[in-house]
Amino acid sequence: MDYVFGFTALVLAAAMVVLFAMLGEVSARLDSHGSPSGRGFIRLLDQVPAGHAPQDWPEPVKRMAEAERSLALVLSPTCDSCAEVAAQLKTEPKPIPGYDLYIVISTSDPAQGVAFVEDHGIGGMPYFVDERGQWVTREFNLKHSPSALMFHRGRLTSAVVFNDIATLRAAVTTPDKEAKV
Amino acid sequence: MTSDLVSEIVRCAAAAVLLCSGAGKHAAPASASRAVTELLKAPASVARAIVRLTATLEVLAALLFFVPGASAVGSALMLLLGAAFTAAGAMGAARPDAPACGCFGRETGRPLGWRNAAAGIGLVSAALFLAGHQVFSPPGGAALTAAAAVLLCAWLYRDLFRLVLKGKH
Repeated sequence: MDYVFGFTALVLAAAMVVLFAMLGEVSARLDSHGSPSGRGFIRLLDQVPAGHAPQDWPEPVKRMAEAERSLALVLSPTCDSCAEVAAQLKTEPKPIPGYDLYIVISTSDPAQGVAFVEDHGIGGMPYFVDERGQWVTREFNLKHSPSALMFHRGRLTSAVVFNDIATLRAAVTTPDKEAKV
Repeated sequence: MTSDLVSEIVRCAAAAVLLCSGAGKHAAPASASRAVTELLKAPASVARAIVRLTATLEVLAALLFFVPGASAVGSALMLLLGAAFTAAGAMGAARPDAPACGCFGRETGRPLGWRNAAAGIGLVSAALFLAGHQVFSPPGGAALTAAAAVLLCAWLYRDLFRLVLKGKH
């Protein structure tokens, strides 16, 4: 009888885990595909060196060093949210008003990075394939994607991790939110 | 006596972790499959099969701890799984664009790294410890493991719990 009770308790506990794992997956899918309320995700990354001005700018993004305000979107070919952000970029020619936009593809396989850009039709924007994410890691201690790095005349002002262009735009361009981001 | 108590606690804690991890990955294998695809450069179908197999072994190991005469097999399985998690964590830590680990079937999570390697080493250590302490008291242990699994689940999915309990975000 004790065995029956013990294993019944284990089965019930496992069932509870299964239920919440499924709920978690549903919740994540609603978040990534846009919930009915249109809620997106954005979080300030506080481990980046705010104020840092890289000495070494890769050629495709070199003009960021001179731009008044620029923004680098760091995407990875292996993350689902990055693919969704790339798809949003394709439909919005000027997604973040007031910022010069650049793409950094962080990938272990440069060919895969180029294929990601071509597949999503975002090759019209200046982009840099950062092999193994070495540049963003070395210069900005950045290990998240999709993320956005904001610069003022080549100097990093802040960085966020996000999952939706509209949410990023709202955070960057709304005056009262800009202070937080 | 103290040694028996410690081994019972270690067994229940390890079984609860394996049960949550296995059941969670079985229910929501997508994130872990992506991690395997990225780490091993394996096709999606192979990655999913690896995740299913791992999840099955985790649940099996958890249950074997409470089957008379099978505790040693549970320890051996846990040793194998711990070694695999340690290797995956080390591989993730070695790359700057490591994928999210998909641990416990969660979509959100930190990238694979040293934290996962440490968890793997913890499982290996627990397996070795339990291999040398084959004390058996299944019914109470199973109930304690179930309670620990529920608490672990509540912590892992605390956001969902809050949502359910409060009825809003």
